[in-house]
Amino acid sequence: MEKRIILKGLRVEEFIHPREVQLQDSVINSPTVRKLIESVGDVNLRINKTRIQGTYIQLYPHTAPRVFAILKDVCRILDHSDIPELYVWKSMNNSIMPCTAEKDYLILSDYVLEQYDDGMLYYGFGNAIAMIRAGHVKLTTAAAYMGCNIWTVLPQMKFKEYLHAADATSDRGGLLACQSLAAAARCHFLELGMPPAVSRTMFATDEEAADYIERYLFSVAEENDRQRLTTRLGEMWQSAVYFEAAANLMLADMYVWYRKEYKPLLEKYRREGGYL
Amino acid sequence: MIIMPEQYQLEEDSRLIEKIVNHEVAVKIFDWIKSEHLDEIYNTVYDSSFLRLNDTVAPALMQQLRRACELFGLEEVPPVYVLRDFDDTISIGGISTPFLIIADRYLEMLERERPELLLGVLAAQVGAIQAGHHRGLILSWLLSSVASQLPIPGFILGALDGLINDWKRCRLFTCDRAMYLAVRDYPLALRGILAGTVPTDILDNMALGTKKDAYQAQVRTFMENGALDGLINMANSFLSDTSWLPPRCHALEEFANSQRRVSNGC
Amino acid sequence: MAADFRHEQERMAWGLLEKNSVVRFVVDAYQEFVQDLTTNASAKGRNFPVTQETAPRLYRLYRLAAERVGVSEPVPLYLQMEYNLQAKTAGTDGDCAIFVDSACIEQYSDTRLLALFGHELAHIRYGHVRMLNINEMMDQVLTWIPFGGVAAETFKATLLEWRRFADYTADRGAAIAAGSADAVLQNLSQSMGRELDSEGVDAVLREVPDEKDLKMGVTGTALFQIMINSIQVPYGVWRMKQLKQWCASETCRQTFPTVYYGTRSGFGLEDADDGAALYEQFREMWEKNRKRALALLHAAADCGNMRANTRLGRYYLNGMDGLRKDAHNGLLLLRTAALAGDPEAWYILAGCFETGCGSLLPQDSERSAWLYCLAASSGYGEGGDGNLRQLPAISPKSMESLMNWFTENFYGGPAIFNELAPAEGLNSDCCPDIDALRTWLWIPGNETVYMTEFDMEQNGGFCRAIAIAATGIYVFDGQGLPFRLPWKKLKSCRIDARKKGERVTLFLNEKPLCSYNAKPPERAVGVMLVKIRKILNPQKS
Repeated sequence: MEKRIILKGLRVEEFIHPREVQLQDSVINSPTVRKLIESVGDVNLRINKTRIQGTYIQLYPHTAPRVFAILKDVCRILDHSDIPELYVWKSMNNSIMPCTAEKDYLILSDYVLEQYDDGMLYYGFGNAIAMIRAGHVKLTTAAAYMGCNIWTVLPQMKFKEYLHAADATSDRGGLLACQSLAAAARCHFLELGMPPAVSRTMFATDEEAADYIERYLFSVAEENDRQRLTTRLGEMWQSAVYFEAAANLMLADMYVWYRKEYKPLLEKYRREGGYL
Repeated sequence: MIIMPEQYQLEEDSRLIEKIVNHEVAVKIFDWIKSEHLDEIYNTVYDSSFLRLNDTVAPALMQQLRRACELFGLEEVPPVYVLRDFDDTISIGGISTPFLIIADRYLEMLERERPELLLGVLAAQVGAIQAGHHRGLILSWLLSSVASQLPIPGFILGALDGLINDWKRCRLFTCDRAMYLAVRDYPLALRGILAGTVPTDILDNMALGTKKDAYQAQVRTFMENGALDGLINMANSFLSDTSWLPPRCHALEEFANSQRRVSNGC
Repeated sequence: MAADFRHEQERMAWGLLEKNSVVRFVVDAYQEFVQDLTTNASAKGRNFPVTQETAPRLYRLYRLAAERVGVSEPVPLYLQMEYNLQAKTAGTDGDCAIFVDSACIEQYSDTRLLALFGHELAHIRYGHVRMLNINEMMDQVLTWIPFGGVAAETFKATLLEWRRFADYTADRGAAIAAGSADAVLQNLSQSMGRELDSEGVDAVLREVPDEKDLKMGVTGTALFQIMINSIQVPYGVWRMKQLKQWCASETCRQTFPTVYYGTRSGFGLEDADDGAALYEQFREMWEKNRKRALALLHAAADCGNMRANTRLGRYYLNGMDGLRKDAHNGLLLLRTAALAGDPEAWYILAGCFETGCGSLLPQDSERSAWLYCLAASSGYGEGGDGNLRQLPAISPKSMESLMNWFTENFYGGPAIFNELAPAEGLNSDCCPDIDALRTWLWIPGNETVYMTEFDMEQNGGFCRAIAIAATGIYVFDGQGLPFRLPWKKLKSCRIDARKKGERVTLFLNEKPLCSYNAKPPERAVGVMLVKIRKILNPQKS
């Protein structure tokens, strides 16, 4: 792995998903959503934090040196000065979740600590820090309180569309932090059900990962072409109401960005100097 | 010398479990179980669908379990079943005859640790059985899983349910004390509370029970919360039936200190 | 198609379920609709599809399991991120998909994966699928209908009883797919929380009370249903017991001898791993104890002993006392031995190609001659026709064109040729795997190999290989057997590519040659063959 480039002065606008930009005014700045975020409010965030302090274990640099070293690196790479607190919980969950109360903090599962190699941790932390930098955290917390109810589905659909676009932005942040398509792909494939120990045998370098992702996405697209109408309707419904976007779509989105904009962006910061 | 429940059972636990098993609704439920021969059905399900551990398959566990039973005066060694689950640890099941159910990942982790930790964890469960926890737990399970089948109206069950929730929030304090009395090692007992929640290498780095205990800061923050946070704690407590980790660790420290004072006094 | 392995009591319980036609109709219609809206829709976007392209090794195992269990329809296979070490079949008959937990892919060996797939495929073969998933929707659908609640409760009780026996049937399918009950017992025990060896299985089963039909009232039945439906592996211990009994039975021995003899724990051979020693023991035991001898022979073949594979292949091909004829299995075993370079296996296969072997192996006189020649050159049998020395070699000009093409497309990559002395061909200095490759592709010892390109598997075999040799091209496309294309034939033959779904099959003079995916990597052997042909004969398309 080449040395990672520090993206000093990185702005969210440089990697934000265009759909997120489009929806920002109509969704986030709408009175309904503003009210929702306010109603969730600080009290609920503090209740959540207390629950976490009572149930999960906080990690420190001297108890989890490897993890903190990577977190610090990621903050440097993405030019985020405030290193968040870190909590671990016992779960088979494939994510690192950012939360906020008085201060930002991250929750990761012990499954992540066991399964993720260093590259994948860079990606996971990068994803979370990008969420913090892009101001998504209060929104995702508010969305968690939303639930899913058929009577509120129409107002929720646009908001969930925004959340999916915000997730795509975070994926880009993750890729910028790990600077390895192979590591990012391993994270995505893990969510889809392919363990990293196996995906590592399928691709090792970024070139191999790119080749594999293309073939994978082609195979998925061919399967999807053969869908029935009811399946397509089901997919649309799920896309509209699920909290997370379909993992295959997220992978495709990240890959397209990798091919088109990632390398020029990285090149810009390489010229400006600064390696980790 | 046998460890008796009076030595470790939390007063509130003792009071609540007595109230629960003697509650008229609970008595009705236990009578109903007997009349419907549900014990046989319950045991058949476990025998047919869970692996029962024995000396061939889990020699270390069986050895420590026998030791734990000796320490707490439990004559009949309870059966132990294993299940595959990422999140679970160890619990007690059984209607008339209690047994243990341990999660595979948790067991594998304990088998890699010192044998005394395995002893401590099992002692916590054996001590709980001796304190009558299995009765409360089976009632809890019945109320949550088969309430619709019970011959008692739902609104009446609610009162018992509330009582059980209160009891479940304090019962683990009893278990922690039993664990301490079995191993007489405060850092080890602390480790027993937190084992499985973090990877082992991080747990090692936490230096639990020493001056550099990395969990103490979290315990202090939690225990020293101001008025608003205290209300938050209360609200959370009513919504949940689990005990928070920091109060458990804090309570264990106090218990261990009191036990040391008693020993020094003697 | 594999013989019938349905559990006797499952057949009876199924009959009871089938009688309730109104419930079945409602449930079928609802399930088909819901399946599309939920599981199918979710799988497309949120699960890893296992195909030839995305996960070739897993896909090969899956197709092998399907072949052994007797399922020909292409049922989609997906992965899902889960800890539970299980697979499930979602949907309804005719429109279903299999979902496998990611932990299985990480932890299971090939044999255990075959068992896992085999279990689900057995459910599909016997049309169980629509009944497997209807528990939840019983309450949703039937309680809307007058007296539907009562009907639902009655149906659920019958369903629960059937479900136990359905899993007994599926476990047999798993053993057939894996060729042994041992893998199934390991899967079952590990999915219940503890992987057990045969000693552990016996220790656990010894203490388990016998299966019994409980006399349950309404409440007892409800409790039983609630508990069983919340368990990950319902009746897991009883299933282990049932499977062990069946695999040791005379019925299994007669109908599925590979399972009977392949269940090593039944003969105390589970730890044996020395194929040569096992083969010697088989020879000593042959006259004394035929059953044990066959078990030893199966174990030796399973350990990869070449001679054991050939001997057992011959027995299955022809049938013999104690082992019913199974040409398919026989050919598979002979194939394994032939690819490992056993001259006797070459000789037997040559005979099979000479006369053909029904639909399993078409008559192919060219291949027959080739194999007779190979066998004879190793001192087995007589040479037959088709002496390689009569085949014209490639011209230096053509060789140069091919070298340039290889260099341009693959240099520094996977292709290998002798840079220092190309005309001398490959040796073990420039290609350490050349001897293994020659054995695999059946290249005669006296023939020069100039260039090669291949992918090896972890077990030392090849999943694809192409070798440019003096008299022609030797190819293995990952399936079946290697084939050889002499230069003259390659230049002059007619090659057609026909697409069906996502697979393209190359036909050479109307005979199928090899197949590859519609969007293949550049290195698919079929694609390479077409390009090589174009280099040698630009006029031919």
